[in-house]
Amino acid sequence: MERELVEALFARYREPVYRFLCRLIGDAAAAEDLTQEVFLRALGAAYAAGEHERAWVFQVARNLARDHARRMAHRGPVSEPPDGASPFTDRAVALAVHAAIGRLADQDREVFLMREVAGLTYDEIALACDVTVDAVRNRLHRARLALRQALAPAVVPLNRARP
Amino acid sequence: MTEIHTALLSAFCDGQIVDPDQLADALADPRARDALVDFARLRAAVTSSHPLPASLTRLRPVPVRRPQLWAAMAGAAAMLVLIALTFALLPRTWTNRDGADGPPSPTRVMRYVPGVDWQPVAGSQ
Repeated sequence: MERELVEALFARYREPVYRFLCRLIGDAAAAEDLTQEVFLRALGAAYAAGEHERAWVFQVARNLARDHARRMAHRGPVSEPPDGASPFTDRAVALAVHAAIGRLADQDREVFLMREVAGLTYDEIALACDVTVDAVRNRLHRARLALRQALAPAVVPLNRARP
Repeated sequence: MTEIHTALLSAFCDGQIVDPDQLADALADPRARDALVDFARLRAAVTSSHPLPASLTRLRPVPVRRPQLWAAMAGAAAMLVLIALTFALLPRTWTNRDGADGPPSPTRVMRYVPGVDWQPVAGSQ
């Protein structure tokens, strides 16, 4: 792919890719590097940007994140949300959410973050993760239930107590 | 509230088309309404308003690869190996030449006595 096309992809998707990678690997500095790497990979790729370009970009991001996770397997989990707290949520809740997401199964976590952080559609997630749309729907449901259960003590009282 | 209800609400959260009657059934249950609100809370909790890092303002240049340097290094390594092999093999060749290329030792000595083993002929020396 030509540099100009990749620059355009970078401008369109750098933010959701970075946010997704931050949450997925839990390391802001590594997420910066991997975000650049996602688009530099596109330079050498035979892929021509089309209607599924966002799915393709996130597939590359997911694969790079998996490689990174394998390299960093010896390190412990990151305890802080890497890209700052949400403006809608208390810090304690943000920490609890971050930890609970880290405990999801890898594929459920990827699907959940592609949907909730990056805003991909079911079809795009299915393409990026090489699964069916039904599998995406089921994994999202399963991840939400697991997170809701894990966060019940933290999320519900803290948020409902807010003025 | 059943898992069918939460599955429906999960899909509804994602903008999927759901059966309105089933949605009404689900939302009639206060626990299902709580689940829907919790799903929205989860989404809010992973939303970030942090600015992007400065390193992501532009795509960085492709790292320059230097094939000539690698080729030169590979050539130098091959040359070193060749020299090392030459030095390793040469002394052995010299040693072998001393032993193998010399004349063999005699196994018996034949002596000829003039007048006994041969007769001088007139005109010869």
